[in-house]
Amino acid sequence: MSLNVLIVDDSAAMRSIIQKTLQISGLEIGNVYQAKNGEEALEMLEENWVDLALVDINMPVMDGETLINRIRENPDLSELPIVVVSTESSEARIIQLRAKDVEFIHKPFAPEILREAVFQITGVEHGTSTLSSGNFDF
Amino acid sequence: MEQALYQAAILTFEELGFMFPVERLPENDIETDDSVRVSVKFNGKFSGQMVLQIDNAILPILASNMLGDDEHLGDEILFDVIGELANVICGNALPAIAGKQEIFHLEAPQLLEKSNLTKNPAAIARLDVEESKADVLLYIN
Amino acid sequence: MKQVIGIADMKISTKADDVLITYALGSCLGITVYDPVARVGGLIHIMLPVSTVNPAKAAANPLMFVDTGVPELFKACYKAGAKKERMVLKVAGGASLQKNEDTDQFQIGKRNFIMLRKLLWKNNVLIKSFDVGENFSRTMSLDMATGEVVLKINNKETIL
Repeated sequence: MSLNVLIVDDSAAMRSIIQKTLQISGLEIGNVYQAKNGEEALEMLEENWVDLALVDINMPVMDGETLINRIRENPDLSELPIVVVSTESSEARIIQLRAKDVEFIHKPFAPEILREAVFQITGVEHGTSTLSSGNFDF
Repeated sequence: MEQALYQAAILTFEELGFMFPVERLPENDIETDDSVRVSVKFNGKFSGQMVLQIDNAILPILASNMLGDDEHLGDEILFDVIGELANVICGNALPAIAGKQEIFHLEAPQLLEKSNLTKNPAAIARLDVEESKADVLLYIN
Repeated sequence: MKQVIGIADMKISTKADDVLITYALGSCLGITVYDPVARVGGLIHIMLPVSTVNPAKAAANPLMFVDTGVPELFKACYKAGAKKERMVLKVAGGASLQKNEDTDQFQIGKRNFIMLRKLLWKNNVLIKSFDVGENFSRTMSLDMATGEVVLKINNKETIL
């Protein structure tokens, strides 16, 4: 089964780092949707089937915490596995977020840490890497 | 405060940029004409802004490292890369300075003109990063 | 058979009864790769991060440096039948053998690991598991029958 993924972060560079990590992690990734803020993310969730969301916290227009609240309140989306990927270092805020049933990854992160969190939350077994485009030394 | 700034900056350059930064002596300043600056404004226990200033020369290398990709490096993504670096350094440095329980709100990074770089920051971290320089300046209102 | 890998050296094996082993990894990195389907594995013992500091040495022995050695390791495994997407990579070493890490001016161990992570990221490879840093020396071995990697630190064995 391949996973459709939604990446929500106001930084295009960070969205691309997260996407690359997922694609080389051994997960079978289906469609990848990207959103710049919570509002865009909600629109995409309405129009597309998503199996996993990776969500930043500090974003303009609608922040990640509001987005997570809206997802958890919506009966169609309330069970969606969410990994928060954020610079947030405040213990108080991290506890507050974890109470919403999410995994938490702290930026900066090694790609291996993100891979482990995604395996854990989706319950998918380790697989093999599938990304094969690009310029390689080996 | 300075130590927290150094730690956050070094960690971020290592983990996100795959680079090896070391502390630099103050007399060896960055040439502001050949560098780029972004600012991240924040509110919380105290408010202010953090500025990341880095040599132009290292920006494409940083971007290629972070993205793991030597192609597709337009101006927009270069700005985005330095903005995200600043955002991550700021997000890590503030609770280290103010205390682990404090919550800060960070605004989106903005490019900063040279003329808007004010004097007398509350703390500076000066780094040598692989033959180039990077400074992190913290201003508190 | 036990196959010993020296400093700035590597060995590739396709034999189930081989154990690849390297001793005394300090700031050096030991890197194992293993394809569990083709049963191809390799171990390299690398000294320094980048070949550009001494291109003559790198030309004479690319296995000395992370940026030239790691591609050699992968390519040798491909030749023996391994496939990149199946290869499992593990890392040990990168220690700072000074008494106090702050006095270790060159931090070769740390540089080695950062350089390795950069190279792997650019080449779409993630590390399966690693044990790096600290201030002790490590012995690393790869069992070709199972792909199991064992670390020996201060006479205590752990599975990586």
